[in-house]
Amino acid sequence: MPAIHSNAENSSPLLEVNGLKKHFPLTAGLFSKVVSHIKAVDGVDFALKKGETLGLVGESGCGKTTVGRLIMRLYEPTAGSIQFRPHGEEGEDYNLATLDNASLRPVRSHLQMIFQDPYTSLNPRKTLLDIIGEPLRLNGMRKGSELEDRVVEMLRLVGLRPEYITRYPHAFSGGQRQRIGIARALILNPTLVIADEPVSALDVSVQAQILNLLKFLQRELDLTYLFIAHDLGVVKHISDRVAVMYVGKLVELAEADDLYRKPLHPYTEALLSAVHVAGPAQSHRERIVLEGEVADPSNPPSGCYFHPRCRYAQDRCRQETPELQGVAEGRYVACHLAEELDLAGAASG
Amino acid sequence: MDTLLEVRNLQTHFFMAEGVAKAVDSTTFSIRRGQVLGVVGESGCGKSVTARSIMRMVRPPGHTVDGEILYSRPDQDGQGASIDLLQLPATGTEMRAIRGGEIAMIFQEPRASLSPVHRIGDQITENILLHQEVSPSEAEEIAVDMLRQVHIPLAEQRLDAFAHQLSGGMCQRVMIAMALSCHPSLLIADEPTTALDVTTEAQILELMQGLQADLHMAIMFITHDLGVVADMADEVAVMYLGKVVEQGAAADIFRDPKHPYTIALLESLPRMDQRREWLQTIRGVVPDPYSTLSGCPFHPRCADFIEGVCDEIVPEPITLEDGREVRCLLYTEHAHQERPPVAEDASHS
Ligand SMILES: Nc1ncnc2c1ncn2[C@@H]1O[C@H](COP(=O)(O)OP(=O)(O)OP(=O)(O)O)[C@@H](O)[C@H]1O
Ligand SMILES: Nc1ncnc2c1ncn2[C@@H]1O[C@H](COP(=O)(O)OP(=O)(O)OP(=O)(O)O)[C@@H](O)[C@H]1O
Ligand code: SF4
Ligand code: SF4
Ligand SMILES: [Mg+2]
Ligand SMILES: [Mg+2]
Repeated sequence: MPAIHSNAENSSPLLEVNGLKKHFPLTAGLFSKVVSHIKAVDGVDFALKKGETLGLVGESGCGKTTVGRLIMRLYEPTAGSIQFRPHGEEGEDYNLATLDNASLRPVRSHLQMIFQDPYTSLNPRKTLLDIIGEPLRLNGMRKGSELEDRVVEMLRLVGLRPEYITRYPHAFSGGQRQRIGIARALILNPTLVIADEPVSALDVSVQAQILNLLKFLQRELDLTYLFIAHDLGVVKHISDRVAVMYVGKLVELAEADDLYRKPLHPYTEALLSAVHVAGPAQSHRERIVLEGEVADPSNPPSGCYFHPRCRYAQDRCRQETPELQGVAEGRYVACHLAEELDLAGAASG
Repeated sequence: MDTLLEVRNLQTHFFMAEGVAKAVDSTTFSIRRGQVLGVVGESGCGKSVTARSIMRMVRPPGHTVDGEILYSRPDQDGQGASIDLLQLPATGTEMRAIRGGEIAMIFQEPRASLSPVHRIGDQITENILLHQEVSPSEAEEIAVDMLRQVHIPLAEQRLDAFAHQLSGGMCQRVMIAMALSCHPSLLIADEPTTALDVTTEAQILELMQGLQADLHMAIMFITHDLGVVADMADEVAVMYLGKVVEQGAAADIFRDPKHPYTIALLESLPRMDQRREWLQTIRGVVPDPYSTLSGCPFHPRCADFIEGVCDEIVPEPITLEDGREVRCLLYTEHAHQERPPVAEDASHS
């Protein structure tokens, strides 16, 4: 198993995920017989250094949210370990994958998630004061006006008006609700934030404001982000490193600049080629349209999961599964041809 | 000009304890048959409420208090007859036939708009049976076919799934499949690809473009992704605080935006070809829709603000040579009026 650290010297990262798996049963028929398993996450390894941002990108349904929910222990892992060291090297080392509920409690305040579906994650019968203030109250940290002041401060930071504090979630637009979720996740100054498509519903201007806020807080409070997003411009802007996922596995992991300049995996190349560029000027760049069916996570293709859609695939790719391997300083890729191919990066200039 | 939908002076307000929120305040725009109108604007500016008003799905305390929504409906002899949707009872048979059939909508928060307690297959087939003369088994075939077309793997098995068992992007694609299954003449797509990665998004956009060409479907495409707008839209409408402030051909608007708000919006885009530490934001925030501002609603944030003019005169839409409509006093004789000397000094700050 490769040790996927941001650099070799850093021996105890904040978070270290090894061999993480989540298989969901797929049922059929009246009696919900289990016919097979959806391998949503199927052997994922990575590490997060304190204070860094790791971007996580990949096709819809490839397992990104499931990775986040496993770290939050909202799902029980099928296999694997999740080492978490919120108090640094000297402090306690928790394996989130195996902790029971009681032992999870003290760790929970260090972990927050910004959920992908803001509306379904907000209680419709509670006001913003209750929703955003809840993490504080659960941790018994603040009461009364102090709590209210803190909620007002968070509202301001995410660009919502303090007067909204007594309103219910349904009275907000999609982007406003997304910001409510962000305010709630950040109010406790968590150590690790799993941000699942946190700015996907936001227009460019508010998006810029939120990205600036996330960066600012990171600098002030040394926050660490696992940043799940599909907008590659946003991911590049916010991430130190980027992990690319395909059907439950990581296929590439690298420093953001390196990955965008020179991807090593054909799937990354295809992703980068499909980016829209606003303005008519650059519309003639070649876009690699991925042909073929999206892989079925209950019955993935043989060999390299990407081979039916890969334009470089060879016989070997249909038989042998490539492992994620270190090929250069800080660069990991799972492709048999990684060292031979010369792939195109994102358009520049 | 073959206009399919013409929205005139639409006003939808929310009557709340704190006051009246003018979410849509005198919005005017039109959509031509078979064309794509991109609608952009900051979070909270009234895009979704406009869409819901067309669908007649605004719920109390919201009410559409004024305006016309002229829908030109092809009758039996292929002749167009124009009806004002606002004159139809919202829950009457005619509106029910139009909603989800002739005019279909992809909602902004897909997981929240899918039922949590019904299987997704049943939800899609129910809508098909409501609008098409087919048998239940044919409806199911159409449903499976549509799910395949939106690239959901294991389409047949997934009919039995509940929304919570699908990824965010899958819920969105289920919504899209449902909306497209009845071949609408107008598709209102409210942020339809926010949860999709670039390659899946490219496939979905291609599918929409295909149907647009084959069936002559018009699309009202609400999005904050200006790259997608550049790719998809024939025309663009830019909304600010419940009003359309600029509408024109997409190419013109990207090449040469006229309204100061449009200009600011284009400048706050994160780009893959540049690495900027902090992103540009439009200064200030969108004012509360409860507040009533004198003059131009954008004036507190506008870089071209003319004191004594912009804070006093309400700009009306005017048509420029290239057919573009702009609501800004810079393009009127007011901008060239002699200004009072006090204003002259202040404008340098
Ligand atoms: N049910 C409601 N009750 C009260 N106010 C509402 C309600 N729904 C929307 N609003 C207000 O109306 C305004 C416009 O909302 P709308 O959902 O149309 O915004 P939007 O342009 O779609 O924004 P976004 O890009 O964030 O989705 C917002 O300020 C919102 O707070
Ligand atoms: N609770 C669940 N029960 C059954 N299957 C599930 C469950 N949650 C997720 N899945 C399945 O696991 C796979 C991965 O889902 P996940 O939500 O992690 O994808 P994702 O990468 O976040 O996609 P998106 O970008 O569309 O949000 C999907 O096939 C999904 O249907
Ligand atoms: S291993 Fe083969 S099929 Fe897989 S990505 Fe590399 S070249 Fe393509
Ligand atoms: S009318 Fe004045 S304030 Fe309004 S957008 Fe034009 S220049 Fe700016
Ligand atoms: Mg997800
Ligand atoms: Mg909206």
